[in-house]
Amino acid sequence: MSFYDVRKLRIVCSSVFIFVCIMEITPLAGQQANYTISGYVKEASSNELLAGATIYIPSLSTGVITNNYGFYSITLVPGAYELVFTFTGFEGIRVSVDLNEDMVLNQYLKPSTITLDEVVVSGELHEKVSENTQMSFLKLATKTVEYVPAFMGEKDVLKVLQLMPGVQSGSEGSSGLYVRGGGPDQNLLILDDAILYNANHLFGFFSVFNGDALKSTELYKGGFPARFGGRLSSVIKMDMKDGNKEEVHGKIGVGMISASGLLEGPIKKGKTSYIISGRRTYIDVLIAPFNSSSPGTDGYYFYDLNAKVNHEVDLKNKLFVSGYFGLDRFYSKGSDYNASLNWGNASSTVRWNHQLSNKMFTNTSLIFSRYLFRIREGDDDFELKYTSSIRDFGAKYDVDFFPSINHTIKLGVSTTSHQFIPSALVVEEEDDIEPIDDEERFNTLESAVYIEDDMRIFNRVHANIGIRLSHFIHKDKTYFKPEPRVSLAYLFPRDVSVKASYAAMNQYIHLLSNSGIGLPTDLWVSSTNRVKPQSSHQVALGVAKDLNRGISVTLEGYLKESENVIYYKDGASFLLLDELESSISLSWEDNITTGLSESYGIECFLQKKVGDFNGWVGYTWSKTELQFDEINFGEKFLARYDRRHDISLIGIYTASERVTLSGTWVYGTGNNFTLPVRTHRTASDVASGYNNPSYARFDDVEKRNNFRAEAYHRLDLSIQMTKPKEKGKRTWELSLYNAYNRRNPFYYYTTSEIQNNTRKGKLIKSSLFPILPSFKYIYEF
Amino acid sequence: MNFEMNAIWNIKAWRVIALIILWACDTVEVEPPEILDAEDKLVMNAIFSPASDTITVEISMSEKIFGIIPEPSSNIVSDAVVTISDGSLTRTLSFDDVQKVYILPATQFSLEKEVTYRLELTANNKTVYAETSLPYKVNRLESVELNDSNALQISWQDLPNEKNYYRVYAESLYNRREGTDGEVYYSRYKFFDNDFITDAHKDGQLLSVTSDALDEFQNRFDSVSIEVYSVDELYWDYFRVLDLDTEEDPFSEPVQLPSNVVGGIGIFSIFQVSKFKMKWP
Repeated sequence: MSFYDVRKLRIVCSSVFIFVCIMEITPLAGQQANYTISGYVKEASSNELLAGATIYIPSLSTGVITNNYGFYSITLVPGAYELVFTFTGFEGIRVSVDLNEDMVLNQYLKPSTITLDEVVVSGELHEKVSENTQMSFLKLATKTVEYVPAFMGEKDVLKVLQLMPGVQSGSEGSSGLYVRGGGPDQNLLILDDAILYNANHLFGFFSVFNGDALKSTELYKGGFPARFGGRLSSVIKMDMKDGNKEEVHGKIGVGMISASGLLEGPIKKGKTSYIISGRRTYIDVLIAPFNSSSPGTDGYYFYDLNAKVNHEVDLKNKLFVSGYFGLDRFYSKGSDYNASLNWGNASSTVRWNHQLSNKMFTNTSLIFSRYLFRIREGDDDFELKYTSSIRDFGAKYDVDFFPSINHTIKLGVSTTSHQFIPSALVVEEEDDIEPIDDEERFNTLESAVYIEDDMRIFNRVHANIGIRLSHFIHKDKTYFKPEPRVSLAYLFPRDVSVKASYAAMNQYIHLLSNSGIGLPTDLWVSSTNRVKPQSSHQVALGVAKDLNRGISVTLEGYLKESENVIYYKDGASFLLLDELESSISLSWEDNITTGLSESYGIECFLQKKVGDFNGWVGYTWSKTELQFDEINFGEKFLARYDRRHDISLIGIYTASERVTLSGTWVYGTGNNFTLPVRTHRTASDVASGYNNPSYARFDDVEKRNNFRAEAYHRLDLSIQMTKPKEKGKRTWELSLYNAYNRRNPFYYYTTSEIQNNTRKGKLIKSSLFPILPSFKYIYEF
Repeated sequence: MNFEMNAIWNIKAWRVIALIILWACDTVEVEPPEILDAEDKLVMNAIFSPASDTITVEISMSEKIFGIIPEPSSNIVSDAVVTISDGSLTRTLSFDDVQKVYILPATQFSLEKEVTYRLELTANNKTVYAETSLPYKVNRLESVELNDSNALQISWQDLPNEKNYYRVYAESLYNRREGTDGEVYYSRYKFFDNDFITDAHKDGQLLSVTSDALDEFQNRFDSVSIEVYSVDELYWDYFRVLDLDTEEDPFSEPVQLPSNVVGGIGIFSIFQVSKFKMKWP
């Protein structure tokens, strides 16, 4: 064992010791006869389990949160208590219990309706941000995603998350998320425990997450609990609906570019249910008139398919099998020619819940995930196949332990085998030319163990303290990194809390991308003996306040420092991977450089969650700087998506049972672009023996990202008109993207024209989407 | 473009979608902000070797990207004072009106190893300068041979503990013939591409270059002429950036041209060249 391993072991042992000490000094249950209330929180009509619901005990000023599978457990001394069950987007319930024995208390919550009286809703019947230890955290109600205006009517979870403070979009229309200065590759996207690698359809204009199939979406921007790891900037955790256990329901949607459908229902009433949801575009039909060749032979489409079955084996055992499959496909067919470009994710998860006791809950997951990019091209005497992919097989075991009202302990272990194929090329020709069969393939193993305790240390001090030990093996290189995590909250009277957090994160796999627009050619690669894991440290400090009428306000500041952040070298591109220094066999490792990133900012979030008018206002002030020895001559420079000011206004107004109006307005400081500032003569390449051409001119780029584009702002509007039908309801949705037709900058370039012996240099702004109306028809039964 | 990108581009639907997006793009000329209106700078380009007949320096002024500029531009600076110094000896270069460069005969200034040379110019009330020294010179080839694939392979020893950058030029003459004018003509076979070889990952080791297989040609040659060039890191970086030719690739990262000219732009680099004539192996 090396000196460093010994040092790391000491750090781990010290952390565990501190953890145990805290456990010891905290008033644990068991010092007095205690009883436990346990059960599940479910949606009333469908029996869907609700993860992240809050059970609050006002008399103790504390509470617990249901785990991933809607389970909760509270252990208290005997007595009379009032329990308040709340969940975002649902009506809260107040329950009185006289606790003198262990009891099972399942609760069924109803989705909020437009008739909800705001006066009644005052008090504790909605979730309060001030009571949650977790900071830098957002939970999206499914209804919110349905109402927020969407680009071309395609409801998109990631684009709604872009409207949150601390989260920024990249270029126009892109679904990429830039969280607190991090890139889209630094987001951990989890769908039912499986990591999805490519979140984009069609150049990133649409994300792969079909809102119809999702039950919940959670975003962590900082203060990461120890159960999450593997990415630097955010965790976006999405769970698919389980499927209605009581009756069959369905939904059909037809929009401008796609049609979607959802069907769910019981296989065995109350025990087993299924859900299947799909979406397919018909862009291939729309672009058919543009095809010069015979119709139907060239085209593009994408589709998503989500499916899930869950079975309640008995009161203590549940089984879930879920899968996602999505594909983008460009194709071209001729009489003797065939080509296609395909990319997509596939994932599946098998999970087994087992309730060991009324205080302990376990989950075992087997996970498969794959992202594949493939080109095929061929004719009568030639065939080319190019593939790049990442494929995971993983297993995970998690334990949730609720020893007392003051402690919720989560611990677990996970391991994932990644198989990378950065590139595999097969070329076969009929002539005598030797076929090419060139494949680069390697495996890595990423593992972690974690423990965290969400605890009440003193009456008003709540903390979540944990540690994650991550481990990564690539060939003979091993990385072992302890990641301490701490979140603290001090609860003041009148629903005010002050929160602070620290999180260390490591990322062992990286995305090589310089297009910035979500092309399928973006390449996932691994840490190696030359490319170290990216790592970050983030501290955050904030205040949360709950006001009347379901209004909450949070103010947070953060500082995030990352090292070993990867970046393409000057001039590098995915097109040049084989050509940069042709005398040496190059791999992707030679084409990248590593450096530092520093982000800091302040975020303000004012949200109204209930009532017939709800929505939020988000404001972010932030700065992100990068430094690489091999870029910008080693000097610091602003990140492309460094955005000083970012504002989002979202309003959803339920005018009546039949009409819902919504609007969003976004404003952001312009992105940074790199533009030349002068042009000059260059030297001739004389040291070669060849007659080399003189390079006449070069446009001098003095600094990276030296030009700040004009500000981006846009208004989107939407109206949904719902009408009850004999067997369900239908909704017409009309939307207007970029309602006041703002010509927002997409990119800039320079050009010149020569007239009458003078040259005039010009700066050209290019804009993408003008005002775009769209419609969608939805029928639900 | 490589194989894969050709295949991508051949798919018509991809092109149609890309064209629709480009078609949807609306462009408009905008006023460049002040930050892009940078001051003009003196540009000093000087690359030569101890084997050159003259020390040659080109001086010009940079031009603005935006606004109106007369064409053809006449940005060569002819009234500069240009000097080269080795710390003890300083010589002034004179402007050559024909070649539009500043020149000093090599006989007036010798270039030696382990000496730092300073090139300085004053023009338009500005003074800029650059410094450089000679890179390692390859004095001996380890081997010149035909390998198992019947390809020419040339090897030499790298100097350890420093970054070194090389280029190898090799040619053989064949097909000797006499013209009607009595002159003797040859065909010329060039063995290698015009690529740089670095000692990255191979510091201090034996470096080599290998030609394509010579099945048709190998019996036609009597000898091979070899030139091994050594350049400094700046030279390698400078032309690597120019070679990237990124304008054709919309997804490439922007490039910045390195410079060692303090207060200006350009390159001052001295290279070494060793010439060998070997019997055909």
